[in-house]
Amino acid sequence: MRIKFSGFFWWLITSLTSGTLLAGIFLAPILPTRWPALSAFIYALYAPLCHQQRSRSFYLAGQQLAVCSRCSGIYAGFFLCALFYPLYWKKLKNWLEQRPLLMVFSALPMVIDFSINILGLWNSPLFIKSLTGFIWSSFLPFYWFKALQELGTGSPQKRLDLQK
Amino acid sequence: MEKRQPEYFVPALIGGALMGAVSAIPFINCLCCLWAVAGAMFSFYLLNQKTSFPLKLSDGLLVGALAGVCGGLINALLEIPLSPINIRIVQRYINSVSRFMKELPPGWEELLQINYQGLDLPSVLLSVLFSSLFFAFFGAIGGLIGYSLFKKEPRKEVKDETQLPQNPGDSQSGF
Repeated sequence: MRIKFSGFFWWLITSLTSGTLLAGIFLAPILPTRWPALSAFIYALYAPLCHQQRSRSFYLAGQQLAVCSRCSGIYAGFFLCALFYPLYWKKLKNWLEQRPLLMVFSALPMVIDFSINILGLWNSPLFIKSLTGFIWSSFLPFYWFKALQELGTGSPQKRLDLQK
Repeated sequence: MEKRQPEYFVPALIGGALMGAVSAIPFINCLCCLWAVAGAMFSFYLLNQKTSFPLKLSDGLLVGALAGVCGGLINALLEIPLSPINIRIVQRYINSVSRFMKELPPGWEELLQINYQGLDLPSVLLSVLFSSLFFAFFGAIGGLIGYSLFKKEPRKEVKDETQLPQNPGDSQSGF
């Protein structure tokens, strides 16, 4: 027996998961005064996937966020784009979904910024680092949902369109 | 019609082992989620090599997520023996840097005072669970990117222009 999930189900799960991951980033610096152990645990959770350098992180309530500025942009971009996915124009979704290589090309600003920084040519501000991460990850939900719909319905034709 | 299903497990395990191991090594793991994404891309590449038919975008998502789960497990297990070593390496690095630099980032003194506290089972289990979730998320993204780079285009059917003779006897050259 094959369970079929609707587009709305995948949208809800994706938005909740990516929203939780994003919330954790802002939760970690708020908690240390009341629950230091929980705060340390959240920082540790994000550690394998981020260098967490203080000089490259945004600060909240005097503490650094759980991830660096670029990763903050990545999490925020994915969440926001996934959240508003049902509202996007259908033609735009179709156009993007036909061009999966855009996932690679949208990473170019991030790669260029990283290369310039690592070569010591320019120390880009945190906002730029964050923006490059945001640009890359805001392209991803289009392919994410397409893949999930292939999984859930067995057909890539059935699309998530709440604006109909 | 026979339903074709790719075998995800071995490519996911190889890619997962790669991402989990590299993400646990100090200093190399400074590239954020890149290793998780790269490991999942490698998983998709291996799956694509192994599979004779064209794969779908959802195959990229699945093999990437599975590689992420494997990577998260391996990373969390490797972190157990590596944590005390990592702390010592970072402390030694900060110590040597502090000799040459006048100003260091705020909070560096706290880093020197950290001692390895050991591990308790619930926190290990929780970190394995969440680590797998994080890695699965970035692994799935890596699988999608792997699909965009390595996917096989469906083969176009070539029209066979040589017509088969209706009567078998027609094809034989007569004397």
